Amino acid sequence: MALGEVHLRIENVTKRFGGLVALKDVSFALNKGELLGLIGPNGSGKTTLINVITGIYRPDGGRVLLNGGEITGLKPYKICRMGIGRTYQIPRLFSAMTALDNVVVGAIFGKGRKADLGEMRRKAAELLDFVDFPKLRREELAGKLTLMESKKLELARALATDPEILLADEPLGGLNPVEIDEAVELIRKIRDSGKTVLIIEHVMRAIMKLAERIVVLSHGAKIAEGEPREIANDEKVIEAYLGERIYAPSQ
Amino acid sequence: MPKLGLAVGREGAMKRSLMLIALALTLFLIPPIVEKGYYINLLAIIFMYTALAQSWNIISGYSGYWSFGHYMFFGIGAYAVGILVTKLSFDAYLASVLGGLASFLAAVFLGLILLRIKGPYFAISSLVMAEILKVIAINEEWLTGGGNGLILPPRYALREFYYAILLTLLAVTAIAYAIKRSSMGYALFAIRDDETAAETYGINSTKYKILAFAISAFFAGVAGGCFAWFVTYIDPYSAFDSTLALMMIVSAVFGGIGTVMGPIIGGFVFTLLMEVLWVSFPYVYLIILGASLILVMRFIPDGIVERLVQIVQLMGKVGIKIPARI
Ligand SMILES: Nc1ncnc2c1ncn2[C@@H]1O[C@H](COP(=O)(O)OP(=O)(O)OP(=O)(O)O)[C@@H](O)[C@H]1O
Ligand SMILES: [Mg+2]
Repeated sequence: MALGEVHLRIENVTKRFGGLVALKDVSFALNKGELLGLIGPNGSGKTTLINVITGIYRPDGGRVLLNGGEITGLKPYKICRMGIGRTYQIPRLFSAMTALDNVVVGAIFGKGRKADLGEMRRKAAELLDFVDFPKLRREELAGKLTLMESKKLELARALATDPEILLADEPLGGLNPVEIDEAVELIRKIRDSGKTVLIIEHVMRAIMKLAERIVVLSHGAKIAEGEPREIANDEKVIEAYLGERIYAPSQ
Repeated sequence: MPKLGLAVGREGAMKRSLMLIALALTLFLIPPIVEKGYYINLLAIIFMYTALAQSWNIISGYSGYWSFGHYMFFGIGAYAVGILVTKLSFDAYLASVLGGLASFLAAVFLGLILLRIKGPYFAISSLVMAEILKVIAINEEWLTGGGNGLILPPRYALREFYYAILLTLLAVTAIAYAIKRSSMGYALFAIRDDETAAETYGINSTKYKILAFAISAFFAGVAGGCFAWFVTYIDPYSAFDSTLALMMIVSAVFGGIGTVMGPIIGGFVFTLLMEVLWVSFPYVYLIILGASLILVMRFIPDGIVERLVQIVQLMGKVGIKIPARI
């Protein structure tokens, strides 16, 4: 598959929770090898969209296509094994397992799974190094990690499944400015390792620097799509963020 | 938080402690050669409860699905043997294995329904299912003998029961250990911590839950089957006895759920305790059993094995050397 081809397509996806329409007829494409930002105010449906793509929720309308094939409504473990990995906004680690074992789970059961447990352990250790997880904390229980460590572990566990597409739900959320810079570099590194990345973000400055293209959700509907510069000057987007200052990318 | 996961660093300690268990259990081959009476009987009953606690551990300790109705598999095994032996003249040993298989299949079927239900609702549903099976055993007289039960041919087989149930205990412990070390162990422990996240990272949770439930049921069924030919009489109340579930849970929790050692230590300690209590306070021993469950969960929720490890580590820190970890 060539760079720039559509990797993941969201087609008219609608999702309701009772009377609340969390996603309204959302369509966009994620291209092979790109780093796409998904932004929007609180409650605009970003996480819900990831949950629909990964099979946690079944949409009430619309389709999700991976490499042109429909994956709508498949079970999460199947979608994972087809090469879509994700992280959780609020880390959902296996808290009574060690940090390393959390990553081992991804390696054993994901797309790149192999029967050899020893090899999967080595792979997990390498990935922890890749995300710069402190070596001394590997055998610590995941429930005892700091937020930054948890976020790194979330990334390592998702990467352990050998995804072609990574959906990262606010990997920078709650981090301090120094940590954000580190995490931004990490996301870039992941994309540069050949993966297609969709990143949800609240930190405007970071996403404007990081993403090549941005999709904006508001109240469950897509209100804009384009390059960071266009998005920063888009009337609808400025309105949706209601006075929140949007930073243009620095040159 | 207790370290209940699959800490790689502790594998060496785990291996050593398992060799100790194997050695201890091998020593248990000897007693029946020199003794025939009360103590052999007591040991055999300890083995049975311990095997049941270990079987419960495989589904409930590992995956976090607390099966309150687990005694149903003991009952299914017991009735399978009762029916096969009395109506079809099967050999008792073969019937016990078939009793295990009957429980295995029942668990696959019931698991497809019950294991969709989460948390306390699963615990209650499994209990209700066990009680339904008891009612079936009472009503289907043509097959089960109804309330009168089934009388099996006399065997005078204390020694045979002793060895059969010891073998069952060894087998269920070996399987529990193997599962814990395998990818299935990772799957079950991940499910216990966060089932949705487990699915997100590629785990087919339905498959692993049902498999663990069925393997667990197999051993409970074999134990029930051996019990049937040993006591040569079963009725719905002794085969589907909810006290058994309480024993399994208390033993496993006391020793440490999710550990291989826990149910063994818990099973031995608790069955002995029960025996002493039952002899001394026949009317209140169930109250004591219930109360001790509450106390254990309140004060040592991670079980005695975890505590022993901590004590040994602490002793190591203050300079007291202990050769091997527990
Ligand atoms: N399981 C659910 N049941 C009911 N309502 C839900 C559920 N999940 C999400 N919602 C609602 O759907 C809307 C979209 O939520 P979602 O979590 O997708 O927003 P978000 O864009 O990720 O917000 P944030 O930036 O705060 O993470 C919200 O109004 C939320 O309350
Ligand atoms: Mg969100």
